[in-house]
Amino acid sequence: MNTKSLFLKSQARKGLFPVALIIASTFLALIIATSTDGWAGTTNVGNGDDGADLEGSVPIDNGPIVEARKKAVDKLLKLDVEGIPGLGKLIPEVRRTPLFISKRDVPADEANEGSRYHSDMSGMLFASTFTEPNAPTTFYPAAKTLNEDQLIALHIHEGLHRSLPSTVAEDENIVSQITVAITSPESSNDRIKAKILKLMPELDSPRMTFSPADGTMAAEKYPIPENAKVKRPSILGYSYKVFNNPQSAQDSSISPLTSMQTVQSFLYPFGNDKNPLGIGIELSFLNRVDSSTQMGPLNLSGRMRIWSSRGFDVGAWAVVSLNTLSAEEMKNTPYGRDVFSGGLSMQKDLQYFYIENLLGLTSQGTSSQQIGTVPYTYSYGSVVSATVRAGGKLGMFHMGVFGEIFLADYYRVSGGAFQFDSGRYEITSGGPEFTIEGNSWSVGIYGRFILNSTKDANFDYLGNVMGQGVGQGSIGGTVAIKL
Amino acid sequence: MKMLNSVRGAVLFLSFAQFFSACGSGLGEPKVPYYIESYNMDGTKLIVNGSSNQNDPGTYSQTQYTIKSGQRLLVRFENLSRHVDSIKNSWDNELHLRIVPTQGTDAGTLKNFLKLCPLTKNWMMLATWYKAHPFNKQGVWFNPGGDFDSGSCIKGQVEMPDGTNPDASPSPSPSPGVDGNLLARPKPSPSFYRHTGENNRGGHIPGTYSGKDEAVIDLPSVIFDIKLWFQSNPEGRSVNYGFILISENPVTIFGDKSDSYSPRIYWKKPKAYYTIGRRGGGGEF
Repeated sequence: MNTKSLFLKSQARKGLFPVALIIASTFLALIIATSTDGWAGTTNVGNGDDGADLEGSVPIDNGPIVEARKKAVDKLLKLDVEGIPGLGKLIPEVRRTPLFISKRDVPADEANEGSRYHSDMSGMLFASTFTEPNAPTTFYPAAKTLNEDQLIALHIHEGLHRSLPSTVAEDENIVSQITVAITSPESSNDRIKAKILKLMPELDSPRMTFSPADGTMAAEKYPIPENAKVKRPSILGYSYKVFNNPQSAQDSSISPLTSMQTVQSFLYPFGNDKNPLGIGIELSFLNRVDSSTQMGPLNLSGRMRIWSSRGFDVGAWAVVSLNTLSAEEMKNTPYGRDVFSGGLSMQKDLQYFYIENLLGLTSQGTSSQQIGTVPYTYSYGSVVSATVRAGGKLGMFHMGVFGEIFLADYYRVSGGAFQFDSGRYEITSGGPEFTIEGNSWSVGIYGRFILNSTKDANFDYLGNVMGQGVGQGSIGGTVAIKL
Repeated sequence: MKMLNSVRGAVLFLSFAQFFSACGSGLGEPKVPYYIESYNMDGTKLIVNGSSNQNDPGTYSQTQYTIKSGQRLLVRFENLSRHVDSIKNSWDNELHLRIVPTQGTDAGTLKNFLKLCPLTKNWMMLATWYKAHPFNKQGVWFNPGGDFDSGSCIKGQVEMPDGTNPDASPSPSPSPGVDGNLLARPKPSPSFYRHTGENNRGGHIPGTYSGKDEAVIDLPSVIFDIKLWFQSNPEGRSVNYGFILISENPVTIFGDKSDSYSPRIYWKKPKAYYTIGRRGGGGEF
């Protein structure tokens, strides 16, 4: 009833003749009426074959019906229905469907049982199609009585039958209401989307997967657990990390840093629930061996879940660690350099288990340090890193371990008559991680230790304070609020 | 035309006069045939037994250092490699390192207690008593306190402000520059100078025949002849590990932050070499 009145209202605003109003009302009334006939459950309409031979149909490539199709496509493009759940295939279906014209009218009662025909008041059909992708659309002579707006609505209506998820494609009531939502003069992307979700709330369910590529919705075979991080990726957190910098006679680090505090804000305002795109800012404060505290590097990061397949999430990340804002004392250390990193993450988050692989590449770079009157240059080669994180989940408690391998080109130090070149080296490190995940918060502790390395390399060789830290490793803790 | 010939004649005369003056037999005030090339030992690091603090600010850039048992001083002219050719062609074939005592240490005491030993492992300003550098296990001193060639340790000689050596034998040797014998190894020549720059640029300070340079430090000092070390290491093997100053009895010397009295390496560069060596130069001959 509402759909009919809306349609009438729209036509009245356009100032059409009463005859047109009557025809349109009749057309919609028939659509709505047929929607209650219990046609759901059938898969094919017409005479059961591909429709090409319906009543001596012949292809059409010009005329009002073809022109109306072009305008229907234009209208759908203007409304950007591709981004609306369930309508991703509507435009291709309307644009590509083969058009036929039947040589004679067909009464609705001649149709096969369960078929979907849209007829005029005399019971003659306007058009028919199949609820299958790429199926042809056959128009009947009765359709020649329709005006352009009605033909546009008819094209869209038939296209909806072929493009909607199979669970609703045969529901004439739903298809008709969506047709009106699209063809109404007040239609907009938001209104259509709201109508779709109202008629098909399951499309908004986390158990459904929306594919941006084809705009289709399907029941998700590997649903994302409710407590997965991707559900609420935005956090505001604080972390404290204590570095292991032995200063003994035999074992030492060049780092003057004892600990680091960071304030993290990772916000994911972009993308959607399944493909969040976020930007993170991380401020650091460094504590030195002389108990002084100074500003450390500033981290800017971007992360995005770009793809999901068979329950695995693939994401991309990039981090820029800027030393620009660091205190002068920090700049005059081996760590006073800008670090650029990026890579891919692959993650599977199950109800009781999680695993994540990270592949990364860190840029080469240099830093300078003046000791006395001798300037030293620290040169860092590019670093390829591979990380594996795995663990179990029991309620709020997540416990796991991680291991990582760093393969680097070189670490060089030169100044005055002194030169040091490590050559290619490798560092293998790992450690435990334990977190308690609440609905809106999390608390965690972790440790990172060097398990093995070539050429006595340690994290000083990587020169990435905000990344792997310094010295022989670190232990730390985080507190975060999920936003 | 006549005037032009007169000018040419005057220029020729002045050139000859300058030449003879440079050779010590010219007219008027004699001109020295060399410059003093001097550089601060910019790599200066105190290492202390028991301390692993590699970046202790009190161990470098100091105005003075105390050397004693368990406390040694690493010294090196970091950019010596750039001057190897210059030193090889020095005016008197000499290369010296000067140490100036202070804080109650007299030059005689310094000479008796202090020895200069060539290091055998490369090191940097993060060196400690235990490590030459902190980057891997190769950086650990084989012997805590520094790896050096004990058989090549040398003692210094005292030089007074007037350029004399109180310990030297009275037999004088010919003054270099007078006989012009550049290959001779003459006596320790007076080579006092004052370097007034904050940086470590070499000073081209002309010497004089008076036995005293134009810029003179006014304190007794101890000089070490390091020519043999130079020939064996920077020149012969292209390595410059520098030296370690060792004294079992406490002695105090001026440090690298001292303007005039810092540990310095110096040699005499002949003017001829200097002039010819400069592209497009046309200075004194």
